[in-house]
Amino acid sequence: MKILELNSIVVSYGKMQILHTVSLGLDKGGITGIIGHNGGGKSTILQAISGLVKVKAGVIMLKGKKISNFPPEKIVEEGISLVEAKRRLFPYLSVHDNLRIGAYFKRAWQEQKRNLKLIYDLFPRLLSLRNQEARTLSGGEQQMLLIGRALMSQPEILMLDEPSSGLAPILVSKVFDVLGDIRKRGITIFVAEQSAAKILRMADNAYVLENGEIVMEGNGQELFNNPVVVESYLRV
Amino acid sequence: MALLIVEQILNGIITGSMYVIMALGFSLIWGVLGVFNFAHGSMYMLGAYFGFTLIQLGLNPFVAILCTMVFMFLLGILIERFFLRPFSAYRGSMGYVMNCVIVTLALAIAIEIIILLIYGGDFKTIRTFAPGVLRLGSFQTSNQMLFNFAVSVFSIIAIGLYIRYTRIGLAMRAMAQDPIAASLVGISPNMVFAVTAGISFSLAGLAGILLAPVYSIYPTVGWVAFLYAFIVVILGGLGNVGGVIAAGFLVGIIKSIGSIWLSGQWMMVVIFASVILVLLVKPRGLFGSRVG
Repeated sequence: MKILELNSIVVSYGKMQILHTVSLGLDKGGITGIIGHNGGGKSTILQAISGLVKVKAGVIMLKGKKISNFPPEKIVEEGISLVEAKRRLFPYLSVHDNLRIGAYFKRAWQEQKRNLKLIYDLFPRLLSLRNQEARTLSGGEQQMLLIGRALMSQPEILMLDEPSSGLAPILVSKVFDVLGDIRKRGITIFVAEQSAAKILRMADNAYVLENGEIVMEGNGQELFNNPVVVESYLRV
Repeated sequence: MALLIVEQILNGIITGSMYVIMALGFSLIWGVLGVFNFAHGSMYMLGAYFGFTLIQLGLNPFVAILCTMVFMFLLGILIERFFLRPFSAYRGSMGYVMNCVIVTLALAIAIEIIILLIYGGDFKTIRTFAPGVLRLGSFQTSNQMLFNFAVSVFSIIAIGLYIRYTRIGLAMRAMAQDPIAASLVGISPNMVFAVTAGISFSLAGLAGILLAPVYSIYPTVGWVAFLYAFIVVILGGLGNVGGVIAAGFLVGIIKSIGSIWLSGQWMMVVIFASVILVLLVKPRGLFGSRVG
């Protein structure tokens, strides 16, 4: 059974329909990617899972339990954390406080010290920045902070929306290396990426989303080698 | 002359501590809930009347102060739950801001009328908690004001520590800076809103009861407090707790020094003019707003 399943999800902004009966699933412990041109609805899928956006029809199931339209706080409680494309840090909180607040739940709050150590091991740069206000960080550092903060709530599923956007290639590699480390800890990862090459090489499973519909799915490597995919998404 | 100024600075720090207490609650509820609380002055007034009633009943002033703070805290939770939370879903829209202004203004008026009916409009007085006067050379201040200063500073430190180090305190700061990020991190607004409103009303009530022996108590006494709270928050920067604390003391000092040469009415003009000047140069307050 897939750890997370979307069945025929429909999402609209007013009269405009963004997602037309999207169905997909995440394998536990794997990395799943979703690619497609901008405006296709990738972010919307992640936001729907997170509760930021309402689902008009269809169900979202986490380990067999229906979680559609739960408020965002509840989704975090259920074990799903989202790193948004729009880098929502707490600008005037220090790096350290940004991480700590990630562990807001009583359950995660008690594990705070242990998790902070894990995060700082994963991102040594953050340790040296720990007392600086988050708004003073560079783009790459902010991305690291956001991933770290999302991990503080001890999620089972970590979702990332365009993690590579605005980052220099060397930082993009670093981010994806980190995702590999995170996967080793047993966390399921779901990434929406416009830069298809990076994610397809890493993903166990991937979907292609166009105009609110899944048009292709398969193993990451297969899609990476698929001529249609190469033509549409891998030619820069 | 220099001595006089130093004495006035001391006086200003003492009265400034009261301004901080008045303003802190207002700033917190605005920063965290996004609510411009027109009823903030009413909470000051309720604190005064509640304290007055308890002392009339023979309660020791210290106990009365504690009871007032607890009562106001609970009142804050209730009002947030039933008058503010129903609108919180619309947070971020212009309609929300207007809604809160109207609701809190209506509350303020309603509370004022209720108090008027229960207590009448005449000025009430409480005997001072700490009779006597402190004299250090030519410097002089009432023991009541010293007592107020001590209680205020203690409260400011307590609230400051709470916001800085506790889980809910951290959540309050996060909510003030980015409510959506806060929900993405798992912060449920309910608990945070309730605690913030409780603290806010409690502080306003504390200011009310502390100043009740100094000025008289009457149903509209809260509006002057509200005015000062507003000025201090504007100066200090929205959502900026440190800024509000600094601005509160600053206003106290300016008022005290200014009163050497100017009468009360003119002082208000000077203070308002200063605020306008400050905003022209630094629109986000002297110390910068901490809310987006």
